[in-house]
Amino acid sequence: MAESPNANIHAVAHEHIRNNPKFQELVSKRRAFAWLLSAIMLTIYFGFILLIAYGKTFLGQSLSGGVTTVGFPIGVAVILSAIVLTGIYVRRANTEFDELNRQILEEAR
Amino acid sequence: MSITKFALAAALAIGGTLAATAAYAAGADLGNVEKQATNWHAIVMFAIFVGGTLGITYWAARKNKTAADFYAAGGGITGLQNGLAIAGDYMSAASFLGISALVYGSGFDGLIFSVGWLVGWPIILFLIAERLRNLGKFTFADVASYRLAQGPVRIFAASGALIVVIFYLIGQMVGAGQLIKLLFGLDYIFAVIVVGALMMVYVTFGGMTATTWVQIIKACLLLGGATFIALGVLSHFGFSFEALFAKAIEVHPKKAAIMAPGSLVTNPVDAISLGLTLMFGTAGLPHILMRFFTVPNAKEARKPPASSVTSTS
Repeated sequence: MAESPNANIHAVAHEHIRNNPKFQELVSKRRAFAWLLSAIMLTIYFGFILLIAYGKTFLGQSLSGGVTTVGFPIGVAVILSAIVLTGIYVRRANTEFDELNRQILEEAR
Repeated sequence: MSITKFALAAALAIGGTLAATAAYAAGADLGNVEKQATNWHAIVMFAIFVGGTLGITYWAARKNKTAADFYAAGGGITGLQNGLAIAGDYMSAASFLGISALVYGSGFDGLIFSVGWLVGWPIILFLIAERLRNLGKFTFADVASYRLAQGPVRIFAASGALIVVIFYLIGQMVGAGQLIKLLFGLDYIFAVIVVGALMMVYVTFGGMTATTWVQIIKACLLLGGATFIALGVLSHFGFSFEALFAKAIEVHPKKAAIMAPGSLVTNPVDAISLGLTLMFGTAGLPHILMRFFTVPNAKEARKPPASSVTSTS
């Protein structure tokens, strides 16, 4: 890392931000939220994979008597869940997290 | 790394649907394609596409002034543009040829691949995307070596990248060569050299700006083409999935077995190992990860996964 003439000013600003309780709130809230959503996604996905591994006959049985099997709507549901979870994250990040971020930067001035 | 994707992109974008249907109708095996008579229509289309993308490269080369411009498009790509570019990176070989062929060959098991690839995206978004952007580096090796010993980390990253890229590149170049041979009637070796030279020109002169725009164009072409085919097929069956599946079972040599898992994934260990590979495969793709360095801030870094999740699905 090259030492810039502003290194000291930056170090002070960094220290200031790190000690801001709002920054700690942002970090812990976002971390918890990200891991929660990841856990939901992984559970859904590996549930699907385990179903493929151990529940072949279940996935292969007919849905409402026709040729369409139970597996297809389940596969589509996993895809939709990925879209929904992404939407949930982006929505909260764009409002709550970005607002906190803005306040932190404001207070660091 | 997007270089490799261009190999198929260039060939694919021209013919798009044509390429796939031609190969399919002729019953041709891609590994053993017969050289076709020189097809001037296809060559003219190809020349127009190459000319257009070279124009973009020229424009990008004039804009590139610093290292940040070259590697990360100066951080000036918007989230939506980047999302389309990632979708382009991701869809070239994978969705258009690979998944179509897997679903055609093994039915339900092909669906496992599309699901597995897709769920990598939310994980990237939740855990990786914003952090990468916030560090303000150019490549993944920069990030990995940020708090560690630079030398060994970079050597390891470079070796890993090169080994993966070599395999990636061989597959893509063979595919591109075969496709161009099939479409244009060029000699295989000549086709591979032309494609390889074009890729190098794009990336060397245009950097990330040019590759991004070429990917965006490709993504739009592929999304448009795939939607058109899907709607066409569905309208043929009166928008009834039941009728579509019934016909598929009737004409497929494996009959009803294509509607259930098992033809490709035969035991639980296979299923779990494949599931892990597919998901972490997406999350670790270097040309995807480096795209997060091209956006101006974390908010924009959030958009690409969001938009590419929507478009790739």
